[in-house]
Amino acid sequence: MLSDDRGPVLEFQRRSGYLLVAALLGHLLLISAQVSTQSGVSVLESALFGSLARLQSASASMSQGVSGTWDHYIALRGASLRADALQRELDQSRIELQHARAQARRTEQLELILQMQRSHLPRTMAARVIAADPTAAFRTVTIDRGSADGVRRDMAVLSPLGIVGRVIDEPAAHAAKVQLIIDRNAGAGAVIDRTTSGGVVMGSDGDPALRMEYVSNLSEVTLGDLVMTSGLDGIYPRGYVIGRIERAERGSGLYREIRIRPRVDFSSLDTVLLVTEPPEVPAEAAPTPAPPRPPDTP
Amino acid sequence: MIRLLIVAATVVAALMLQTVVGYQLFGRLIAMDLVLVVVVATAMFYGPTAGLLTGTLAGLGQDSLSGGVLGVAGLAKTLAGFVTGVIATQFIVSSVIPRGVVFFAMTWLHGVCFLGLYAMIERHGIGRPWRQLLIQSLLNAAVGVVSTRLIEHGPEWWRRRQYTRRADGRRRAR
Repeated sequence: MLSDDRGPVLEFQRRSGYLLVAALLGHLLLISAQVSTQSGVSVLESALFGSLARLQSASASMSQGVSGTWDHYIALRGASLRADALQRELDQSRIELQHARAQARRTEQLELILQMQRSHLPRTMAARVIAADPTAAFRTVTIDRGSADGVRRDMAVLSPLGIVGRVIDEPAAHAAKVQLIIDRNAGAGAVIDRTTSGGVVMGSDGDPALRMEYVSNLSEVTLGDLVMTSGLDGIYPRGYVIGRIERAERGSGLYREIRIRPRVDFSSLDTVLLVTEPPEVPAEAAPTPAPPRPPDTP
Repeated sequence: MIRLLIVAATVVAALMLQTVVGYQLFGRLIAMDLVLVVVVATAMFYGPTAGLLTGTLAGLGQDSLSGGVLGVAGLAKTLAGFVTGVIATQFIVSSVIPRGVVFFAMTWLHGVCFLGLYAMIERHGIGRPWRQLLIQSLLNAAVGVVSTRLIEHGPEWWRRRQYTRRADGRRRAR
């Protein structure tokens, strides 16, 4: 009798057990397929990313609409005072710009005299950050431009303050994933502006969020030194700000242990610029270790 | 069918809250895992099969939006959903403390599974962010208990409120 009563229960438990085993096996196969192949992103991932990114874009528009209504109509107290202050700042900046232009002209003339190679501004495309990574373990964001807008894998992403990261995976039609430079799998060829010592800047989980590797113990490094992109990695254009050195200690081996505070505030990214043309690799490129590979291309 | 749609809509809403609203309003990622809360709550209400299916789909969705490997969060959430479903069928988890303990424990199970898989996949792994995991599990437990209570008692409370209002209106009319 008892076995008759328990029959359906046992059958149900057995069925959900089979389902669990199937689901776990499916996941393991999916993971191992990605880890073992050298090819790009799976169709499943790109389709899922494409459709969910559209939803993210719609949610971002709604959320921005709400916050925009608040910012532009309700929270306008003190806006005119702020506008006056900004106008004064703008006037000051215009004067500084004129001075900088004058200096640039002089430098240009000097460069021509010295027959130095002139670098030009890279062509860029603006994109809006619509979402962050759903897991705290990775530092990626989603932008609202994709393959339909000409976005390709490994395009550098900049902000007015400095470098942000690069496009990873194959972009969807109207969205792309950007790996921030502070992600622990990210890296960029870098140079200390004052001393021109080269190295590789990598993301890390600590604070500050960047570390610089392969800078010799013999190199002179001072706290507050500006670190720029070297352009040697073939992704980031040369001469863009990464951050300032906050800690520099002699390492136990050949290299210093350097920590960098990034210039960009990654918690409030709104609009970013994608570099649409590949950077020129400097002719005097000294061999520098390549940045680490992302997790999707083991 | 309606239940299925409700669960799917809740998972998508949790994903959007986690990735879009959390980032745009608070400027960074919110510490809790809302998708996991939905998976555990679904498993508690509908059993292990619903838990593992919700975990699979929600985890894959989360993976596709993340910079990580597709399937890792999926596997961790599938396991968490199934184990919660089994626990909910074997024990009474309707009061606050057992329910909170389930949310807390499932966040740890999910976290250990997630970190363990990455330790096998990547050379250096993600590290051992135990403090973050503790904060996340406490937040998940709090949000999970409050939201499941609301789902269970919210409609009844609303009906009572409407009834009291109508009764007050009739009394005033007299």
